[in-house]
Amino acid sequence: MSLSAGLGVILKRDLQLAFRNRGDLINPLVFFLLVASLFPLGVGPSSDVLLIMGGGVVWVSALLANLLAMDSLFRSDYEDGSLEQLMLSPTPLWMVAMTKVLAHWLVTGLPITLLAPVIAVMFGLPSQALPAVVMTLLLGTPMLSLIGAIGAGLTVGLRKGGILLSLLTLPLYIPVLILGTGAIDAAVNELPWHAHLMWQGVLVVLGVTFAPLAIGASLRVSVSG
Amino acid sequence: MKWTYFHRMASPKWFYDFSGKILPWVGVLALVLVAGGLTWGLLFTQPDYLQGNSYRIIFLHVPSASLAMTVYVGLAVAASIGFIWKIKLADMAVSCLAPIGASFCALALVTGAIWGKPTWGTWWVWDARLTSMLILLFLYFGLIALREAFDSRETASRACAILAMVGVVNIPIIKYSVEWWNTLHQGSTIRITEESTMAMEMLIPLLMSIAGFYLFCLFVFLLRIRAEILSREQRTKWVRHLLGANS
Amino acid sequence: MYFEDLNALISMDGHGPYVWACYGLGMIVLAWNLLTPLRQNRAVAADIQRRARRERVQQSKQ
Repeated sequence: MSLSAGLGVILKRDLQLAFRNRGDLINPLVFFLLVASLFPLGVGPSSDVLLIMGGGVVWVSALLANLLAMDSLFRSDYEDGSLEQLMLSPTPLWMVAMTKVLAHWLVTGLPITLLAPVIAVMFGLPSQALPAVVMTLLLGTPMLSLIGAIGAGLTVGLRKGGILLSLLTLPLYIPVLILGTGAIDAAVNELPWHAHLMWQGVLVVLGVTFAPLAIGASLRVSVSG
Repeated sequence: MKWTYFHRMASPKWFYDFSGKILPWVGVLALVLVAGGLTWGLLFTQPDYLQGNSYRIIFLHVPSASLAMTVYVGLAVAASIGFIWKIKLADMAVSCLAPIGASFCALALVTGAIWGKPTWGTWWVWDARLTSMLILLFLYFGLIALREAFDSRETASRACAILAMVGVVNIPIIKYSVEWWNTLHQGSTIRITEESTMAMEMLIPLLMSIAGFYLFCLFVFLLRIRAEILSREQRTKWVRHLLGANS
Repeated sequence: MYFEDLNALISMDGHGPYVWACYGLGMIVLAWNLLTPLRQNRAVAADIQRRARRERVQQSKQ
């Protein structure tokens, strides 16, 4: 079987598994909406405050929802031993890891991105900011998934990996968050926001280049340890 | 120089003997410099014309902030050496450096906050430097927590090595993004200090204190790693012989 | 010395509590860094010696 066909099989399998577990698919989205709607309840419904906070709230909620979903990225494969099988296969581990991250992003990051404008509207963000919300999340959530996958790989063998995972990954999420909310802020104030987007692109290129190696190494540590 | 030299350096026994020899010198020098620099700064310098006496905190704050950063980089270098060449000593160094760096990072944060109260009138300002120091502290906590979480020492050190390397790649990105974020929201913040030329009289005790803190850090690092060597090598002959546990 | 008397040194024109709090915390951090490895060292040494003693006892029983 060729390399791309093998990766295709992994991708298809992961997507199929995700769609069979509807709960796992929907839960991060519900969480995303829920966290975002806590903010107005916490700070009051004044539209000026919500407008200032909007971009940040969308991003922080997306980030937390992504983190919540991250714990399950390798968990079931680790527990039923299929991760070990994948590591024994001739396909380079970093490619396998990339494919799994892609599949995971397709079922978590992408839906979150598509849902984000709804929350942005609920926070009263002006319509010129909506493209910025979607674009920054479209570039940002893959980055979150890549960084989170390193942490998920490191903690997959641990019984209580969840809280540790957030401790490891959240500090590394900060640059992505800053760039994302910066772009949305600029768009809200009718300033050009393409520069922010390009910097996010830089991060994604860096992430796609280096993160797979780190994910592969961390999986190797967890499985062999 | 021969390659065998490096191999010998990586051997725990050689390092234990060597560190035992330099330990007293490092300790005495650290004590003299820390005590001298801090006393000089605390008692003998003139107060700053803008900040008054509260500026005396910098003799503690600057060295610990600088150490917190340097220790993380050193830790990451040791982690990559340990990860690539599987050198046990480097793994031990990583596990010893994390708590030291974290303690100085926390000290830098707290002294920064206390200094902020008389200077800015508030305990905490989301200033770029304080914020990135806070994130650095979280990175340290992550490393320490990850090591605690594993049962096997071997797995823990490999996992920590990966995390340290990922962290050190991210530090410049975090630092620049936080600085950029700070300039973006400049309305809400106050600049830390004007870039002023520091009087010689203040600079010398500060440099003394910085040198002293670095040496102190080296001293406690050597102490820690010696305990770690004994603990990990306790089944070897030389350790048992050393402790008179030979039967 | 810059300060005229002990009271001036302690109060530091109102900045005293801040400065002294910092120096106090600094000393705590330095002391912690110093004491932790010393304690650890003693514990490890004691542990190794205890184990060696136990092994000796077992050997002599056999």
